[in-house]
This record gives sequence, C-alpha cells and structure tokens, in this order.
Amino acid sequence: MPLKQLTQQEFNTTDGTVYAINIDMEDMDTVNLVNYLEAKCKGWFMQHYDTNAQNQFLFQHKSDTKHYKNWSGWTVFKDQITNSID
Amino acid sequence: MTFKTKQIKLKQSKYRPRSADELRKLAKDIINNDVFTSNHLHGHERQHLATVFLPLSMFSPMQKREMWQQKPFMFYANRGQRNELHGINGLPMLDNVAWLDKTDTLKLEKLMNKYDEKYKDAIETIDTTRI
Repeated sequence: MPLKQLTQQEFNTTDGTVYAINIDMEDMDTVNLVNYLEAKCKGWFMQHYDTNAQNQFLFQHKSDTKHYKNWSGWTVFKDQITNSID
Repeated sequence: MTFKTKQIKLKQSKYRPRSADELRKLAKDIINNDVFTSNHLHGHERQHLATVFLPLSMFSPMQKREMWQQKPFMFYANRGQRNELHGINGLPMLDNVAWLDKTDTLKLEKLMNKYDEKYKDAIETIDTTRI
C-alpha cells in the first residue's frame, strides 16, 4: 500500500492548493504524529520545515488538518496531566 | 494552544534564461576560478551537492519544489576569498548557489570550449618557441 506521507520527489510534481498547519510547541514528537496521520488521513500529507512555522505539515485535503489538531491537542493535554502529577 | 492554518496555492516556477552577457561573464568567472560549478565535481561527488552548495541543504520542501521545476542542469556559486571553508573531502563549502538549465549550460560550455582551444594552442607555442 502506498504511503500517504509524500516524498520530496512526489511533491516536486504536485500542483494545486495545499493546506498548511502548524503549532508552536517544543519537542513535538513528529514520528508518532506521522504514524497517526498515516492511519487517519484520506489524502497525502508531508512535513514542511519552515523556520517561521514550527512543526508545520502540509495536507492535500483541508479536512485532514483536523487529525493534526486532534493529535497535537491530545499531546498538549497529556503533557499537562503528566506535569501536574510530577 | 493556537494552530496557524493557511491555504497555499502552489506556484509554477519558471527558469529565467540568462542573457548572452551574463553567460559571458559567468564563463570568465569560471576560468578565473571566481566561480565553482557542479561540473567541477566527479560523478560520485555530485551525490553530495548540498555539502558543497550549502544553501541546498537549507531549502524548505517548497523551495526545493520550485528549484526542480526549473530543471537545473548545472549549479554554480561564487567562491569566497580568504574566508572560504573547505570540507574534509577537500571540496569547497559555498554559502551561495544558483543554477542554469540545460540550454544555458550548453551555451556556456560552447563559450568555455573556445577558451580551451586557445589555451591548448598557447601551450603548444611554448614547444615551438626558440629560446
């Protein structure tokens, strides 16, 4: 099954409109996020390094950005709970 | 916790053909060793272009996409002067980069061949010159 995470080579020949989303967060675990997005997204996605936008990802479909929000929201919530217990 | 979302229309990036004067200047700069090109590299060294032309390693995926759409054929960069860095492989590490497409590269090579012919002739005259 082809991966939903787009390679640079595939991105070079892509046209149209894409949707970028980012959240400013230190030490974000993008490896787990990629695994989550692979399971949830309908279209392709890719990590987009940008010095002005930390943890930025591009999505083919706008609807897929909600998976990014869900995962990041859960991560922040989990960190808050862990820190409050510690 | 705030998410920043934006819609991006992917642009079609077009190569800007170089003028004859620009190509002539580039040819002179290459001959004078003021410009280093990817054609100076051996085959296996070309796999590591980003270690020579450092900005290539810092391009974002979007910038890389725009670059590849211009179909680069030869990369080149101005050589630093005394502050030029060298990698452990002896190759320069350059802090700037530009590229030519295939058409412009062939035009440039044609100009450089003119120089090579003259240079060869000049070397041969040394053998025939009476001391």
